[in-house]
Amino acid sequence: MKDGTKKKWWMVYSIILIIILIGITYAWFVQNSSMTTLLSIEKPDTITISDVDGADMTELDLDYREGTNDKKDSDGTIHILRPLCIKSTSPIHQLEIVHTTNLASLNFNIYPATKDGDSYTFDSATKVPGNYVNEKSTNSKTAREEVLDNYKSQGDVADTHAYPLYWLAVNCAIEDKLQSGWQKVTSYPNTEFDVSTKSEKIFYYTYYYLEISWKETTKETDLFYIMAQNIAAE
Amino acid sequence: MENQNIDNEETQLKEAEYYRATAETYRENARYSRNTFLKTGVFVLVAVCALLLLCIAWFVMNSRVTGGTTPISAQQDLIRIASKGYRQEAEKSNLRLGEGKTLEYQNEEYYYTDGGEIAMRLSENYSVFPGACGTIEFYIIPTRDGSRSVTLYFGLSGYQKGTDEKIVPTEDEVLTALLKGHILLFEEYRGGFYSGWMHDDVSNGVFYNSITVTLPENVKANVPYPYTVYWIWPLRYQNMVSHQENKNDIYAENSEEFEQLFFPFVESQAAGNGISPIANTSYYYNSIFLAKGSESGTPWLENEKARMKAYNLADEYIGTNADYLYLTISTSLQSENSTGNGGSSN
Repeated sequence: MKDGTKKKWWMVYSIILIIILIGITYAWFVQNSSMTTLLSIEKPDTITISDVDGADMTELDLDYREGTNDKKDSDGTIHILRPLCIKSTSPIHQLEIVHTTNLASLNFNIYPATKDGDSYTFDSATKVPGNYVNEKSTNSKTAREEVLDNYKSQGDVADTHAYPLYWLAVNCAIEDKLQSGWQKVTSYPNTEFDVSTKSEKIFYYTYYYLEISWKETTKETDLFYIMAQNIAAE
Repeated sequence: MENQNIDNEETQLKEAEYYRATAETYRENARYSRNTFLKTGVFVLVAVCALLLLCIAWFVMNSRVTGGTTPISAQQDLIRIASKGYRQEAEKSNLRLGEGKTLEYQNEEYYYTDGGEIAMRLSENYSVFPGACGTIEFYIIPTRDGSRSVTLYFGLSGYQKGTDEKIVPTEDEVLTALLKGHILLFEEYRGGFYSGWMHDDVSNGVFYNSITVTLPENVKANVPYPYTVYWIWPLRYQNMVSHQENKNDIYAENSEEFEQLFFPFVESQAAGNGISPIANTSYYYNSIFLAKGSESGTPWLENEKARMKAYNLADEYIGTNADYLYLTISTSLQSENSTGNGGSSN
Protein backbone atom coordinates (compact mmCIF):
# COMPACT_ATOMS: atom_id res chain seq x y z
CA MET A 1 0.00 0.00 0.00
CA LYS A 2 2.82 2.34 0.97
CA ASP A 3 4.71 1.46 -2.21
CA GLY A 4 1.61 2.05 -4.30
CA THR A 5 1.25 5.56 -2.81
CA LYS A 6 4.91 6.28 -3.60
CA LYS A 7 4.42 5.21 -7.19
CA LYS A 8 1.32 7.33 -7.49
CA TRP A 9 3.18 10.37 -6.22
CA TRP A 10 6.02 9.61 -8.59
CA MET A 11 3.58 9.51 -11.48
CA VAL A 12 1.93 12.76 -10.32
CA TYR A 13 5.36 14.47 -10.09
CA SER A 14 6.27 13.28 -13.60
CA ILE A 15 3.01 14.56 -15.03
CA ILE A 16 3.38 17.92 -13.27
CA LEU A 17 6.94 18.21 -14.58
CA ILE A 18 5.84 17.44 -18.11
CA ILE A 19 2.98 19.95 -17.86
CA ILE A 20 5.42 22.61 -16.62
CA LEU A 21 7.83 21.79 -19.45
CA ILE A 22 5.08 21.97 -22.03
CA GLY A 23 3.81 25.18 -20.48
CA ILE A 24 7.22 26.84 -20.58
CA THR A 25 7.87 25.70 -24.12
CA TYR A 26 4.44 26.88 -25.22
CA ALA A 27 4.87 30.24 -23.48
CA TRP A 28 8.26 30.59 -25.11
CA PHE A 29 6.72 29.72 -28.44
CA VAL A 30 3.90 32.19 -28.06
CA GLN A 31 6.24 34.95 -26.96
CA ASN A 32 8.34 34.41 -30.07
CA SER A 33 5.73 35.02 -32.72
CA SER A 34 7.25 36.62 -35.79
CA MET A 35 6.59 37.27 -39.47
CA THR A 36 9.47 37.49 -41.86
CA THR A 37 10.05 38.25 -45.49
CA LEU A 38 12.84 38.96 -47.94
CA LEU A 39 12.65 41.84 -50.42
CA SER A 40 14.98 41.71 -53.39
CA ILE A 41 17.41 44.58 -53.72
CA GLU A 42 18.09 45.83 -57.23
CA LYS A 43 21.68 46.04 -58.31
CA PRO A 44 22.90 49.56 -59.06
CA ASP A 45 24.24 50.50 -62.47
CA THR A 46 27.95 50.79 -63.07
CA ILE A 47 27.37 53.93 -65.11
CA THR A 48 25.89 57.24 -63.98
CA ILE A 49 25.08 60.57 -65.59
CA SER A 50 26.20 63.23 -63.18
CA ASP A 51 27.21 66.85 -63.12
CA VAL A 52 30.82 67.67 -63.96
CA ASP A 53 31.96 67.05 -60.39
CA GLY A 54 30.68 63.49 -60.46
CA ALA A 55 27.93 64.45 -57.99
CA ASP A 56 24.18 64.11 -58.54
CA MET A 57 22.74 66.09 -61.41
CA THR A 58 19.64 67.17 -59.53
CA GLU A 59 18.42 69.62 -62.12
CA LEU A 60 19.28 70.89 -65.56
CA ASP A 61 18.64 74.60 -65.73
CA LEU A 62 17.23 75.42 -69.17
CA ASP A 63 17.03 79.19 -68.71
CA TYR A 64 18.90 81.17 -71.33
CA ARG A 65 22.14 82.55 -69.88
CA GLU A 66 23.74 85.56 -71.54
CA GLY A 67 27.51 85.47 -71.79
CA THR A 68 27.85 81.68 -71.72
CA ASN A 69 27.86 79.10 -74.51
CA ASP A 70 24.11 79.71 -74.90
CA LYS A 71 23.14 81.59 -78.04
CA LYS A 72 20.15 83.02 -79.89
CA ASP A 73 19.84 82.78 -83.68
CA SER A 74 18.34 85.53 -85.82
CA ASP A 75 15.30 83.31 -86.59
CA GLY A 76 14.51 83.11 -82.85
CA THR A 77 16.03 79.69 -82.19
CA ILE A 78 17.49 79.38 -78.70
CA HIS A 79 20.49 77.09 -78.04
CA ILE A 80 21.09 76.00 -74.45
CA LEU A 81 24.40 74.25 -73.78
CA ARG A 82 25.07 72.40 -70.53
CA PRO A 83 28.03 70.24 -69.53
CA LEU A 84 27.46 66.79 -68.08
CA CYS A 85 29.59 63.86 -67.09
CA ILE A 86 29.31 60.15 -67.74
CA LYS A 87 30.98 58.28 -64.91
CA SER A 88 31.58 54.66 -65.75
CA THR A 89 33.72 51.64 -65.01
CA SER A 90 34.06 51.00 -68.74
CA PRO A 91 36.00 53.14 -71.24
CA ILE A 92 33.23 52.59 -73.84
CA HIS A 93 29.62 53.72 -73.53
CA GLN A 94 26.62 54.64 -75.61
CA LEU A 95 24.18 57.53 -75.26
CA GLU A 96 20.49 57.70 -76.09
CA ILE A 97 18.03 60.56 -76.08
CA VAL A 98 14.27 60.13 -75.99
CA HIS A 99 12.06 63.15 -76.47
CA THR A 100 8.52 64.15 -77.28
CA THR A 101 7.74 66.34 -80.27
CA ASN A 102 5.34 69.04 -79.19
CA LEU A 103 7.79 71.66 -80.39
CA ALA A 104 8.57 70.86 -84.03
CA SER A 105 11.83 72.75 -83.75
CA LEU A 106 13.11 70.83 -80.70
CA ASN A 107 16.55 69.49 -81.41
CA PHE A 108 19.33 67.80 -79.46
CA ASN A 109 23.08 67.59 -80.06
CA ILE A 110 25.88 66.15 -77.98
CA TYR A 111 29.47 67.38 -78.23
CA PRO A 112 32.43 65.61 -76.63
CA ALA A 113 34.15 67.99 -74.23
CA THR A 114 37.57 68.25 -72.69
CA LYS A 115 38.40 69.34 -69.19
CA ASP A 116 40.85 72.08 -68.42
CA GLY A 117 40.94 72.80 -64.72
CA ASP A 118 37.41 73.79 -63.85
CA SER A 119 36.36 74.68 -67.38
CA TYR A 120 35.04 72.42 -70.09
CA THR A 121 35.46 73.13 -73.78
CA PHE A 122 34.05 71.56 -76.92
CA ASP A 123 34.38 71.87 -80.67
CA SER A 124 31.06 72.85 -82.27
CA ALA A 125 32.09 71.00 -85.46
CA THR A 126 32.35 67.64 -83.63
CA LYS A 127 28.97 66.17 -82.75
CA VAL A 128 28.43 62.65 -81.50
CA PRO A 129 26.79 61.00 -84.55
CA GLY A 130 23.52 59.14 -84.10
CA ASN A 131 20.19 58.22 -85.67
CA TYR A 132 16.51 58.25 -84.84
CA VAL A 133 15.71 54.58 -84.40
CA ASN A 134 11.90 54.53 -84.39
CA GLU A 135 10.49 52.12 -86.94
CA LYS A 136 10.47 53.63 -90.37
CA SER A 137 7.12 54.21 -92.00
CA THR A 138 6.09 52.62 -95.29
CA ASN A 139 7.15 55.50 -97.49
CA SER A 140 10.68 55.03 -96.13
CA LYS A 141 10.72 58.27 -94.19
CA THR A 142 12.33 58.35 -90.81
CA ALA A 143 10.15 58.79 -87.74
CA ARG A 144 11.50 62.30 -87.35
CA GLU A 145 10.53 63.22 -90.92
CA GLU A 146 7.12 61.69 -90.34
CA VAL A 147 6.58 63.90 -87.30
CA LEU A 148 7.60 67.00 -89.22
CA ASP A 149 5.24 66.04 -92.07
CA ASN A 150 2.41 65.75 -89.57
CA TYR A 151 3.10 69.30 -88.44
CA LYS A 152 2.77 70.53 -92.04
CA SER A 153 -0.43 68.61 -92.78
CA GLN A 154 -2.26 68.99 -89.47
CA GLY A 155 -1.09 72.38 -88.35
CA ASP A 156 0.82 73.27 -85.24
CA VAL A 157 -1.53 71.61 -82.75
CA ALA A 158 0.49 70.34 -79.84
CA ASP A 159 -1.61 67.39 -78.65
CA THR A 160 -1.37 65.56 -81.95
CA HIS A 161 2.41 65.61 -81.83
CA ALA A 162 3.19 64.15 -78.45
CA TYR A 163 5.01 61.34 -80.14
CA PRO A 164 8.24 60.04 -78.60
CA LEU A 165 11.34 59.78 -80.73
CA TYR A 166 14.37 57.66 -79.90
CA TRP A 167 17.77 58.91 -80.88
CA LEU A 168 20.65 56.50 -80.46
CA ALA A 169 24.27 57.63 -80.69
CA VAL A 170 27.19 55.55 -81.89
CA ASN A 171 29.49 54.09 -79.25
CA CYS A 172 31.85 56.57 -77.65
CA ALA A 173 35.30 55.32 -76.66
CA ILE A 174 38.73 56.51 -75.62
CA GLU A 175 41.37 56.39 -78.35
CA ASP A 176 42.84 53.03 -77.20
CA LYS A 177 39.49 51.25 -77.57
CA LEU A 178 38.26 53.07 -80.67
CA GLN A 179 36.70 51.09 -83.53
CA SER A 180 35.58 52.25 -86.95
CA GLY A 181 32.38 54.31 -86.87
CA TRP A 182 32.71 55.13 -83.17
CA GLN A 183 33.16 58.55 -81.68
CA LYS A 184 36.46 59.32 -80.02
CA VAL A 185 36.14 60.94 -76.61
CA THR A 186 38.56 62.01 -73.91
CA SER A 187 38.02 60.23 -70.62
CA TYR A 188 39.65 61.21 -67.36
CA PRO A 189 40.49 58.22 -65.20
CA ASN A 190 39.96 58.67 -61.49
CA THR A 191 40.77 56.12 -58.80
CA GLU A 192 37.78 55.55 -56.56
CA PHE A 193 36.32 53.01 -54.17
CA ASP A 194 34.78 50.05 -55.96
CA VAL A 195 31.87 48.71 -53.92
CA SER A 196 32.00 45.18 -55.31
CA THR A 197 35.68 44.45 -54.73
CA LYS A 198 36.00 46.80 -51.72
CA SER A 199 39.20 48.17 -53.14
CA GLU A 200 40.12 51.03 -55.42
CA LYS A 201 39.34 50.91 -59.09
CA ILE A 202 39.59 53.21 -62.08
CA PHE A 203 36.42 55.08 -63.05
CA TYR A 204 36.27 56.96 -66.33
CA TYR A 205 34.88 60.48 -66.30
CA THR A 206 33.82 61.54 -69.80
CA TYR A 207 32.51 65.06 -70.35
CA TYR A 208 29.97 66.22 -72.90
CA TYR A 209 28.07 69.34 -73.76
CA LEU A 210 24.39 68.74 -74.31
CA GLU A 211 22.81 71.21 -76.71
CA ILE A 212 19.05 71.69 -76.64
CA SER A 213 17.60 74.09 -79.20
CA TRP A 214 14.08 75.22 -80.02
CA LYS A 215 12.19 78.08 -81.55
CA GLU A 216 10.05 79.78 -78.92
CA THR A 217 6.95 80.56 -80.98
CA THR A 218 4.31 79.12 -78.68
CA LYS A 219 4.61 77.86 -75.12
CA GLU A 220 4.83 74.09 -75.15
CA THR A 221 5.88 71.27 -72.87
CA ASP A 222 8.21 68.54 -74.00
CA LEU A 223 9.83 65.74 -72.09
CA PHE A 224 13.26 64.39 -72.75
CA TYR A 225 15.43 61.68 -71.25
CA ILE A 226 19.11 61.21 -71.73
CA MET A 227 20.41 57.72 -71.05
CA ALA A 228 23.80 56.06 -71.03
CA GLN A 229 24.81 52.43 -71.07
CA ASN A 230 28.12 50.70 -70.62
CA ILE A 231 29.61 48.78 -73.50
CA ALA A 232 31.97 46.02 -72.40
CA ALA A 233 35.51 46.71 -73.54
CA GLU A 234 37.08 43.89 -75.53
CA MET B 1 11.89 -32.66 23.31
CA GLU B 2 10.88 -34.33 20.15
CA ASN B 3 7.65 -32.41 20.20
CA GLN B 4 9.54 -29.26 20.72
CA ASN B 5 11.74 -30.17 17.77
CA ILE B 6 8.73 -30.78 15.62
CA ASP B 7 7.26 -27.47 16.76
CA ASN B 8 10.50 -25.72 15.90
CA GLU B 9 10.57 -27.39 12.53
CA GLU B 10 6.99 -26.30 11.88
CA THR B 11 7.78 -22.76 12.94
CA GLN B 12 10.82 -22.76 10.70
CA LEU B 13 8.79 -24.07 7.79
CA LYS B 14 6.12 -21.43 8.44
CA GLU B 15 8.79 -18.72 8.55
CA ALA B 16 10.38 -20.03 5.37
CA GLU B 17 6.99 -20.04 3.70
CA TYR B 18 6.35 -16.51 4.95
CA TYR B 19 9.68 -15.23 3.66
CA ARG B 20 9.23 -17.00 0.34
CA ALA B 21 5.78 -15.45 -0.05
CA THR B 22 7.14 -12.03 0.94
CA ALA B 23 10.06 -12.38 -1.45
CA GLU B 24 7.63 -13.39 -4.18
CA THR B 25 5.48 -10.32 -3.43
CA TYR B 26 8.55 -8.12 -3.60
CA ARG B 27 9.65 -9.70 -6.85
CA GLU B 28 6.14 -9.24 -8.20
CA ASN B 29 6.14 -5.64 -7.07
CA ALA B 30 9.57 -5.06 -8.54
CA ARG B 31 8.42 -6.51 -11.86
CA TYR B 32 5.34 -4.31 -11.76
CA SER B 33 7.45 -1.26 -10.87
CA ARG B 34 9.90 -2.05 -13.67
CA ASN B 35 7.04 -2.39 -16.13
CA THR B 36 5.48 0.86 -14.90
CA PHE B 37 8.88 2.55 -14.97
CA LEU B 38 9.55 1.36 -18.50
CA LYS B 39 6.08 2.37 -19.69
CA THR B 40 6.23 5.80 -18.03
CA GLY B 41 9.88 6.16 -19.00
CA VAL B 42 9.07 5.55 -22.62
CA PHE B 43 6.29 8.09 -22.38
CA VAL B 44 8.56 10.66 -20.74
CA LEU B 45 11.31 9.94 -23.27
CA VAL B 46 8.91 10.36 -26.16
CA ALA B 47 7.59 13.58 -24.63
CA VAL B 48 11.13 14.91 -24.11
CA CYS B 49 12.10 13.93 -27.66
CA ALA B 50 9.00 15.64 -29.00
CA LEU B 51 9.78 18.77 -27.02
CA LEU B 52 13.38 18.72 -28.18
CA LEU B 53 12.29 18.23 -31.76
CA LEU B 54 9.84 21.10 -31.48
CA CYS B 55 12.51 23.35 -30.04
CA ILE B 56 15.05 22.28 -32.64
CA ALA B 57 12.48 22.76 -35.40
CA TRP B 58 11.83 26.23 -34.10
CA PHE B 59 15.53 26.96 -34.01
CA VAL B 60 16.11 25.59 -37.50
CA MET B 61 13.15 27.51 -38.85
CA ASN B 62 14.42 30.68 -37.33
CA SER B 63 18.12 30.57 -38.02
CA ARG B 64 18.75 34.08 -36.75
CA VAL B 65 17.73 33.39 -33.21
CA THR B 66 19.66 32.33 -30.18
CA GLY B 67 17.96 31.37 -26.99
CA GLY B 68 18.52 32.74 -23.56
CA THR B 69 17.61 36.36 -24.01
CA THR B 70 13.86 36.06 -24.23
CA PRO B 71 12.05 36.96 -21.07
CA ILE B 72 9.10 34.73 -20.36
CA SER B 73 6.11 36.54 -19.06
CA ALA B 74 2.74 35.19 -18.16
CA GLN B 75 1.22 38.63 -17.82
CA GLN B 76 1.29 39.61 -21.47
CA ASP B 77 -1.66 38.66 -23.62
CA LEU B 78 -1.25 36.25 -26.40
CA ILE B 79 -0.33 38.38 -29.40
CA ARG B 80 -1.28 37.27 -32.82
CA ILE B 81 0.32 39.13 -35.67
CA ALA B 82 -1.02 38.62 -39.16
CA SER B 83 -0.65 39.73 -42.74
CA LYS B 84 -2.48 39.33 -46.01
CA GLY B 85 -1.60 39.65 -49.66
CA TYR B 86 1.30 38.02 -51.42
CA ARG B 87 4.37 36.21 -50.24
CA GLN B 88 7.52 37.73 -51.68
CA GLU B 89 9.19 35.59 -54.33
CA ALA B 90 12.58 35.87 -52.64
CA GLU B 91 11.22 34.69 -49.30
CA LYS B 92 9.22 31.85 -50.82
CA SER B 93 12.17 30.41 -52.66
CA ASN B 94 14.85 31.00 -50.03
CA LEU B 95 13.47 30.77 -46.51
CA ARG B 96 11.66 27.76 -45.17
CA LEU B 97 8.75 29.46 -43.49
CA GLY B 98 5.26 28.26 -42.76
CA GLU B 99 2.11 29.92 -44.05
CA GLY B 100 0.63 30.32 -40.57
CA LYS B 101 -2.97 29.80 -39.54
CA THR B 102 -5.75 31.45 -41.49
CA LEU B 103 -8.53 33.65 -40.30
CA GLU B 104 -11.30 34.66 -42.66
CA TYR B 105 -12.73 38.05 -41.95
CA GLN B 106 -14.99 39.98 -44.34
CA ASN B 107 -14.10 37.69 -47.23
CA GLU B 108 -10.39 38.16 -46.79
CA GLU B 109 -7.81 35.63 -45.65
CA TYR B 110 -5.45 36.70 -42.90
CA TYR B 111 -2.43 34.54 -42.13
CA TYR B 112 -1.45 34.73 -38.50
CA THR B 113 0.97 33.26 -36.02
CA ASP B 114 0.41 32.67 -32.35
CA GLY B 115 3.83 31.16 -31.95
CA GLY B 116 6.79 30.57 -34.19
CA GLU B 117 7.89 32.31 -37.36
CA ILE B 118 5.76 32.52 -40.48
CA ALA B 119 6.02 34.17 -43.87
CA MET B 120 5.01 37.82 -43.98
CA ARG B 121 2.68 38.82 -46.78
CA LEU B 122 2.69 42.20 -48.45
CA SER B 123 0.30 43.94 -50.82
CA GLU B 124 2.70 43.54 -53.75
CA ASN B 125 6.02 42.05 -54.78
CA TYR B 126 8.53 44.70 -53.79
CA SER B 127 11.93 45.52 -55.19
CA VAL B 128 14.12 47.76 -53.13
CA PHE B 129 16.41 50.38 -54.67
CA PRO B 130 17.42 53.99 -54.00
CA GLY B 131 14.35 56.17 -54.45
CA ALA B 132 11.90 53.35 -53.71
CA CYS B 133 9.32 53.55 -50.96
CA GLY B 134 6.43 51.44 -49.77
CA THR B 135 4.28 50.27 -46.93
CA ILE B 136 4.32 47.32 -44.60
CA GLU B 137 0.74 46.55 -43.66
CA PHE B 138 0.16 44.08 -40.90
CA TYR B 139 -2.57 43.15 -38.45
CA ILE B 140 -2.86 42.44 -34.78
CA ILE B 141 -5.56 39.92 -33.97
CA PRO B 142 -6.58 40.44 -30.33
CA THR B 143 -7.65 37.45 -28.30
CA ARG B 144 -9.95 39.56 -26.13
CA ASP B 145 -11.98 42.75 -26.53
CA GLY B 146 -10.76 46.13 -25.37
CA SER B 147 -7.79 48.44 -25.29
CA ARG B 148 -4.21 47.55 -24.52
CA SER B 149 -0.69 48.34 -25.67
CA VAL B 150 1.33 45.97 -27.74
CA THR B 151 5.06 46.33 -28.34
CA LEU B 152 6.42 45.00 -31.60
CA TYR B 153 9.93 44.85 -32.96
CA PHE B 154 10.91 45.58 -36.53
CA GLY B 155 14.14 44.01 -37.66
CA LEU B 156 16.06 44.88 -40.82
CA SER B 157 19.23 43.37 -42.15
CA GLY B 158 20.96 42.32 -45.33
CA TYR B 159 21.02 38.85 -46.80
CA GLN B 160 23.53 37.71 -49.34
CA LYS B 161 23.91 34.86 -51.75
CA GLY B 162 26.51 32.52 -50.29
CA THR B 163 29.06 30.55 -52.27
CA ASP B 164 26.62 27.72 -52.98
CA GLU B 165 23.81 30.12 -53.97
CA LYS B 166 22.22 29.70 -50.56
CA ILE B 167 20.87 32.85 -49.00
CA VAL B 168 22.61 33.72 -45.76
CA PRO B 169 22.53 36.62 -43.30
CA THR B 170 25.26 39.08 -44.10
CA GLU B 171 28.37 39.24 -41.98
CA ASP B 172 29.37 42.51 -43.59
CA GLU B 173 29.43 45.14 -40.85
CA VAL B 174 29.63 47.98 -43.36
CA LEU B 175 26.46 46.82 -45.06
CA THR B 176 24.57 46.42 -41.81
CA ALA B 177 25.59 49.88 -40.64
CA LEU B 178 24.65 51.53 -43.93
CA LEU B 179 21.25 49.85 -44.09
CA LYS B 180 20.36 51.62 -40.88
CA GLY B 181 20.79 55.07 -42.40
CA HIS B 182 19.42 54.29 -45.84
CA ILE B 183 16.31 52.19 -45.36
CA LEU B 184 14.22 54.38 -43.12
CA LEU B 185 11.10 53.25 -41.29
CA PHE B 186 8.37 55.65 -40.25
CA GLU B 187 5.20 55.26 -38.28
CA GLU B 188 3.31 57.93 -40.20
CA TYR B 189 2.95 59.24 -43.74
CA ARG B 190 0.62 62.16 -44.19
CA GLY B 191 0.33 64.79 -46.91
CA GLY B 192 3.35 63.41 -48.72
CA PHE B 193 5.65 63.62 -45.71
CA TYR B 194 6.87 61.16 -43.14
CA SER B 195 7.08 61.34 -39.36
CA GLY B 196 7.71 59.02 -36.44
CA TRP B 197 11.16 57.83 -37.51
CA MET B 198 11.87 54.42 -36.00
CA HIS B 199 15.52 54.79 -35.24
CA ASP B 200 16.49 52.88 -32.12
CA ASP B 201 18.84 50.02 -32.61
CA VAL B 202 18.80 47.52 -29.83
CA SER B 203 20.51 44.42 -31.05
CA ASN B 204 23.64 43.58 -32.99
CA GLY B 205 23.64 42.55 -36.60
CA VAL B 206 19.96 43.09 -37.16
CA PHE B 207 18.96 46.55 -36.18
CA TYR B 208 15.68 46.52 -34.37
CA ASN B 209 13.15 49.27 -34.03
CA SER B 210 10.44 48.87 -31.51
CA ILE B 211 6.99 50.37 -31.81
CA THR B 212 4.17 50.41 -29.34
CA VAL B 213 0.75 50.00 -30.86
CA THR B 214 -2.13 51.06 -28.67
CA LEU B 215 -5.25 49.16 -29.54
CA PRO B 216 -8.35 51.33 -29.02
CA GLU B 217 -11.16 50.48 -26.63
CA ASN B 218 -13.48 49.27 -29.36
CA VAL B 219 -11.30 46.44 -30.70
CA LYS B 220 -12.97 43.07 -30.75
CA ALA B 221 -11.45 39.66 -30.24
CA ASN B 222 -10.58 37.84 -33.44
CA VAL B 223 -11.06 40.92 -35.60
CA PRO B 224 -7.84 41.97 -37.38
CA TYR B 225 -6.68 45.41 -36.30
CA PRO B 226 -4.67 47.00 -39.15
CA TYR B 227 -1.42 48.86 -38.69
CA THR B 228 0.88 50.36 -41.31
CA VAL B 229 4.55 51.18 -41.22
CA TYR B 230 6.17 53.16 -44.03
CA TRP B 231 9.62 52.63 -45.50
CA ILE B 232 11.65 54.75 -47.85
CA TRP B 233 15.13 54.50 -49.34
CA PRO B 234 15.88 58.18 -50.06
CA LEU B 235 17.31 58.64 -53.54
CA ARG B 236 19.68 61.44 -52.67
CA TYR B 237 21.41 63.06 -49.76
CA GLN B 238 19.36 66.21 -50.46
CA ASN B 239 16.15 64.32 -49.72
CA MET B 240 17.39 63.93 -46.18
CA VAL B 241 18.16 67.58 -45.56
CA SER B 242 15.71 69.61 -47.63
CA HIS B 243 11.98 70.24 -47.59
CA GLN B 244 11.15 70.71 -51.24
CA GLU B 245 7.82 69.37 -52.26
CA ASN B 246 7.50 66.81 -55.07
CA LYS B 247 11.13 65.85 -54.76
CA ASN B 248 10.70 62.69 -52.76
CA ASP B 249 11.75 64.48 -49.62
CA ILE B 250 11.05 63.03 -46.22
CA TYR B 251 9.92 65.75 -43.85
CA ALA B 252 7.55 68.68 -44.13
CA GLU B 253 9.04 72.14 -43.66
CA ASN B 254 7.75 72.85 -40.19
CA SER B 255 8.57 69.42 -38.81
CA GLU B 256 9.81 69.48 -35.24
CA GLU B 257 11.05 65.94 -35.54
CA PHE B 258 13.24 66.95 -38.48
CA GLU B 259 14.72 69.94 -36.67
CA GLN B 260 15.34 68.20 -33.37
CA LEU B 261 16.03 64.62 -34.28
CA PHE B 262 16.59 63.75 -37.92
CA PHE B 263 18.62 66.69 -39.19
CA PRO B 264 21.03 66.69 -36.20
CA PHE B 265 21.51 62.97 -36.80
CA VAL B 266 22.35 63.45 -40.50
CA GLU B 267 24.62 66.40 -39.66
CA SER B 268 26.51 64.46 -37.02
CA GLN B 269 26.99 61.59 -39.45
CA ALA B 270 28.28 64.01 -42.09
CA ALA B 271 30.68 65.45 -39.56
CA GLY B 272 32.13 61.99 -39.12
CA ASN B 273 30.34 60.69 -36.03
CA GLY B 274 30.86 57.01 -35.44
CA ILE B 275 33.04 56.40 -38.45
CA SER B 276 34.84 53.09 -38.81
CA PRO B 277 37.52 52.20 -41.32
CA ILE B 278 37.00 49.64 -44.06
CA ALA B 279 39.81 47.11 -43.78
CA ASN B 280 42.73 47.51 -46.19
CA THR B 281 41.45 50.76 -47.64
CA SER B 282 41.59 54.44 -46.81
CA TYR B 283 37.78 54.56 -46.77
CA TYR B 284 35.48 55.05 -43.80
CA TYR B 285 31.79 54.53 -43.16
CA ASN B 286 29.03 55.22 -40.67
CA SER B 287 25.25 54.86 -40.91
CA ILE B 288 24.78 57.17 -43.89
CA PHE B 289 28.07 57.85 -45.66
CA LEU B 290 30.97 56.02 -47.22
CA ALA B 291 33.96 58.13 -48.19
CA LYS B 292 37.70 58.44 -48.18
CA GLY B 293 39.03 59.29 -44.76
CA SER B 294 41.02 62.40 -44.18
CA GLU B 295 44.25 62.18 -42.27
CA SER B 296 44.83 65.91 -42.11
CA GLY B 297 42.19 66.48 -39.45
CA THR B 298 39.89 68.42 -41.77
CA PRO B 299 36.17 67.57 -41.58
CA TRP B 300 35.33 64.20 -43.05
CA LEU B 301 32.85 65.46 -45.65
CA GLU B 302 33.70 69.08 -46.15
CA ASN B 303 30.90 70.21 -48.47
CA GLU B 304 27.53 69.39 -50.00
CA LYS B 305 29.05 67.72 -53.07
CA ALA B 306 31.25 65.45 -50.98
CA ARG B 307 28.21 64.42 -48.93
CA MET B 308 26.18 63.72 -52.06
CA LYS B 309 28.92 61.51 -53.40
CA ALA B 310 29.45 59.73 -50.09
CA TYR B 311 25.70 59.05 -49.80
CA ASN B 312 25.55 57.66 -53.35
CA LEU B 313 28.61 55.50 -52.79
CA ALA B 314 26.90 54.05 -49.71
CA ASP B 315 23.79 53.35 -51.82
CA GLU B 316 25.95 51.55 -54.35
CA TYR B 317 27.58 49.57 -51.58
CA ILE B 318 24.22 48.36 -50.29
CA GLY B 319 22.87 47.56 -53.75
CA THR B 320 25.97 45.70 -54.83
CA ASN B 321 26.61 43.73 -51.66
CA ALA B 322 23.14 42.91 -50.35
CA ASP B 323 20.98 40.68 -52.49
CA TYR B 324 17.98 40.84 -50.20
CA LEU B 325 16.55 42.95 -47.46
CA TYR B 326 15.45 40.82 -44.52
CA LEU B 327 12.44 42.24 -42.76
CA THR B 328 10.90 40.79 -39.64
CA ILE B 329 8.16 41.82 -37.24
CA SER B 330 8.25 40.02 -33.94
CA THR B 331 6.54 40.13 -30.60
CA SER B 332 9.79 39.86 -28.71
CA LEU B 333 13.29 41.04 -29.20
CA GLN B 334 15.46 38.47 -30.89
CA SER B 335 19.21 38.59 -30.77
CA GLU B 336 21.20 37.75 -33.80
CA ASN B 337 24.03 35.29 -33.83
CA SER B 338 25.88 35.92 -37.04
CA THR B 339 27.73 39.19 -36.73
CA GLY B 340 29.87 41.14 -34.34
CA ASN B 341 29.17 44.78 -33.71
CA GLY B 342 27.65 45.76 -37.03
CA GLY B 343 25.01 48.40 -36.82
CA SER B 344 26.27 49.78 -33.57
CA SER B 345 27.83 52.88 -35.06
CA ASN B 346 25.88 55.98 -34.34
